[in-house]
Amino acid sequence: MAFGKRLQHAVAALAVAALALPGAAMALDKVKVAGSQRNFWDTTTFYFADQATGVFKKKGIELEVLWTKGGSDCQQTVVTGSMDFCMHTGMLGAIGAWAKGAPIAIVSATSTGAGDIWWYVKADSPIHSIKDTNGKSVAFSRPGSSTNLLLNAIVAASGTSTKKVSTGGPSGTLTQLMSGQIDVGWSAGIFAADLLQQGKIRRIASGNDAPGVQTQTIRVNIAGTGFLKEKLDVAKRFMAAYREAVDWAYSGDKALEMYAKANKSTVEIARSVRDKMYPRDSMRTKPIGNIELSIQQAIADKRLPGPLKPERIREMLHYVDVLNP
Amino acid sequence: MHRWLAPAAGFAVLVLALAALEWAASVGWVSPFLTPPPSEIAAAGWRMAAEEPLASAFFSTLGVVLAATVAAAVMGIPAGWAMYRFPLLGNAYENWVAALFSAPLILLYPLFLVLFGRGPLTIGMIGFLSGVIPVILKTYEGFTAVPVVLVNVARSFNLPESALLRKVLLPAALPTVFTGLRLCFIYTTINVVGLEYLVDVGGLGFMVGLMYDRYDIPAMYAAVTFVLLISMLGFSAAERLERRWGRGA
Repeated sequence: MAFGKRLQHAVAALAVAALALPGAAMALDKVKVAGSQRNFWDTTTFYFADQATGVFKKKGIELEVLWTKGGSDCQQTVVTGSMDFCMHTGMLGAIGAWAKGAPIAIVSATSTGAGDIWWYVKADSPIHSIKDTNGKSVAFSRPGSSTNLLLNAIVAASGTSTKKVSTGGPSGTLTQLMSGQIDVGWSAGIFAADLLQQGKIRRIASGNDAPGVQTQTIRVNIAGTGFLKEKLDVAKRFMAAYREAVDWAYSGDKALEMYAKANKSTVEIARSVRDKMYPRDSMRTKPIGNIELSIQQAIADKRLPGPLKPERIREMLHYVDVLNP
Repeated sequence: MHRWLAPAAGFAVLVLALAALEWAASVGWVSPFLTPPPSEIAAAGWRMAAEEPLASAFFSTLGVVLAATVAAAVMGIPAGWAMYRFPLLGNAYENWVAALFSAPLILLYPLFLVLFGRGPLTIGMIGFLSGVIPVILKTYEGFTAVPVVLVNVARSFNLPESALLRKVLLPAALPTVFTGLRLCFIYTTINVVGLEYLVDVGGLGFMVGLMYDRYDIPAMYAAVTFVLLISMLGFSAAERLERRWGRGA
């Protein structure tokens, strides 16, 4: 009798222990995520956080991350259904694809304002601001990109006759600036921040100089509508983990260390870049800021055929409130 | 057999394939976000022609491809002949040139941007470099494959070197030289369009990238169709030239 009773007690104790540790016993939900531009601060914090703290695992999610070059490359993985989320894709691209009926939904803001995009000159250049660029060549990445739209707005506001030149990514742009092919280069985040600190280049403008952009959400997270319909609970947990990841990135030095290491830089430079170019509020998940300006830009860039009615805008942003209470 | 039968059969297969794609898209077997129906692609082509600088992009790409191909032919055919005529050169450089054939020269574009600036010259130089290699190799191969007996007979008639080249070597090597020119055209087109896509200096490659960024998938396919048109024009021209020069030789 004694052995049978003990066995019953042991089984009961095991059952209680299993119930007390649901996380340990629960199978993780796999979420396939397409990332944009690995190692930028705003685009990679969720990944740093998961590596350092397992924040997504704590919410019962196992991340499968595919890094893309961002923009359409990232977006297309969700449209085709091969990935569940595309992180930090351009707002205008997301609006354009959604309006054309692509099976995607905007689920949160990720970058509001464009303080991380900046323009610079060689240290000995006579140019001190965009107002000095009459007849000079100023770089942007590629036509239709956020750097293109920002530069158009900054130049229009300054009233100069600037020659705008597509130069590709930041590294190719730096080469062209240093070899004298262009007068003003562009960069994003930490790239070339060491040269800035060493005084070899000088910053002359920021994306936030474009009228209205400081409050405009320029990058968003999107998800497949099929995924959201089937696994809304998983999506809610994913976004909760994402918000915790961003909080963690601004709460200590661990994320800065990872960011600096990934970019072969120092924690001091990383901190300066984070605090000046990516203030905490710029990475809020809601609300989507200055949507009217984004729609105007999408129309001007031929991504939208015409204005969206208020109910269409509400429909487009429906999941932002659902997933970010 | 009627001479129009083969092209008609080719065209019929193309029409059938397009009709099948149209039907598959209409019943939802193919997602329009991956491959739009051909009717939408055609409509997007018209729209692009009206709203975008499609014609100038087409002629820009065609012009760069043709210039690079002609330059590759002008430099490559004499180089291939020299490697045949002077065996020391052939033995010394054949493997080097063959190794360059597999090198991804397009990856050197940042260097070319610095050397030649952001413009058609950089695109043309990359196109030329990728196209000249098959011309050299195939010309060399064509000349070395000429039967020795033909050369010996010509020499027995005391044919001078220039006449030997013009009347014996070139006609015998012509089919292989043209294979090199066709390969040259293919590689040049791929590299020119690829680089236009990468560095945004205009042309059809740029249009493909722009439409992709705008998420205008039918227009993107329409731009790709114009790249195919350039390819077809090039092949047709090579075929006519080969026939004409083959008859003349």
